[in-house]
Amino acid sequence: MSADTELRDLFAQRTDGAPRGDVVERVAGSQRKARAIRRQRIAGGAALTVLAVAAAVVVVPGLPGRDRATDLPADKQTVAHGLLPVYRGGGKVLAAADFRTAATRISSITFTPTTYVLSVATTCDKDMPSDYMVSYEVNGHEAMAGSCSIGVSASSAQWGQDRAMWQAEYGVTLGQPATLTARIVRPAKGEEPRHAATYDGALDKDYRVAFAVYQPVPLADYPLPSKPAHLDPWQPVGHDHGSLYASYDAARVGTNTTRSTTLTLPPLGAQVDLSAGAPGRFVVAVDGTTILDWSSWTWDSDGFGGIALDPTALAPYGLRLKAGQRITVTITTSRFTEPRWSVDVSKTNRVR
Amino acid sequence: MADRAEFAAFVAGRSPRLHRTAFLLTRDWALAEDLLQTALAKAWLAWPRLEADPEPYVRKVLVNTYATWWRRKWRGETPTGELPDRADLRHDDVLHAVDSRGDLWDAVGRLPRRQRAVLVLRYYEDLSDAQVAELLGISVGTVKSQASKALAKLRLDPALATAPVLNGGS
Repeated sequence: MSADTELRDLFAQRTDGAPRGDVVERVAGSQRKARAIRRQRIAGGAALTVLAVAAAVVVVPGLPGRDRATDLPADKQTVAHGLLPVYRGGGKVLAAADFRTAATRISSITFTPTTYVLSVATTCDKDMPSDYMVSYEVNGHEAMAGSCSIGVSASSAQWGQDRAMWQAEYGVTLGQPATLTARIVRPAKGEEPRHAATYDGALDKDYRVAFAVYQPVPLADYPLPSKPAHLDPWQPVGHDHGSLYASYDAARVGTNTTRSTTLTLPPLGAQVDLSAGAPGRFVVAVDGTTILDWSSWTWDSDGFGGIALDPTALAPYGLRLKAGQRITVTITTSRFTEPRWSVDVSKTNRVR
Repeated sequence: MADRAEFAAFVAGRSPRLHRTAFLLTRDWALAEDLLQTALAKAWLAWPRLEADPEPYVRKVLVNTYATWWRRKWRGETPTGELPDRADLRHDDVLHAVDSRGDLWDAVGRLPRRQRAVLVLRYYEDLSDAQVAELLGISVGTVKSQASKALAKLRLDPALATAPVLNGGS
């Protein structure tokens, strides 16, 4: 079953049986809030006036990082008729290709990886209708599939589970050539895209499809994006969680630092939420075992989301935990050049 | 010019669906009601200026209000390690055990808000990427990037590892 169908079914199921709202109370409640908002806006306007007056006498320092070296040529390089960057997400393209659907519906590239931390990226020069997809095989093994549209879509290469997949399922051996084949498919209703035959029927347009495999490169070789001339104020990515055990904000604890918190693992587990608004690296460890090594590569606000800290989620890392056990969570940040990140360690707020 | 009666009629007719959208974002019916009323409050303040159909505006305010709700402020770093349970969490554990999509629901809950919002707008509200982009005030490319990241993260969620329910990305 496709991701589209799974998520549609999930959302429909979860909203089935929604409580009936009291319309009268809902109208009244919203108008009470409206009055409160109006009062806040009046008060805020006065405060802003005060701030504006105060700012007039403050000398604004030069923007940090503004004089950093101009854009490196490498970060502007592209492949596949300009549809894919040479560098993205901490990696560099190993192999890439593009094809026009008017000419063919299948194309292959050969790549020789030196790590299993690989990412496959796809893009099209136009939005392809969602009933058509690009299906991939690796060394002849059915792999992944997805729709194709403007903008790059990529599988993630940062979570370790991919390593077992590339090696055990796809037969990829480090240092040996491997083949990635892209096919245009049109799965039947209920058919898995990976199992669908190559589609050779008519298409409404001639699409240029580009795909590539990326592999991480040493940081010294990666052209980090320059700090933009204009940067929005840092605001953490919103996350949902329960009560906080600890919260670290770079502005308070330092741009690059290590922080630890010890907690008793609650029955529903805990979680760690990461947010970044600059390139930099997070390493999260539990009782000294690294469970996540995640990097942000952009100046956009980005968040990893909740890393579950419960016995099931941490078992693949060799951790044998149980509720009621004391654990130490350690967060280490590095490579940040600006204090634009935050981390929350919280109790899982699992709600049905 | 719209008036209180029109606003009430709008709430009666359209708010149930918006309430469900709010629930998919907040994952709590009470929080969803609070979010919905906040969005309706802002809509009420803008009511005289709204186009013929206020629903797109209200939806936009609802999703963007959700995306910008900040975490509760923490005034210190001293971890307590022992925190009071929320009494309303326990009784749903049984439901989770028999709900075959419980793991997927939990995994969706671990996504960053914007990624979750993109999925809800795509797969519940059935909006196109262009409509999602316009609603969130981001580019279409960013919508696709956020969706791609969300689906990739779901596929790799350890809780879903033994039952791969998601195939493909977008």
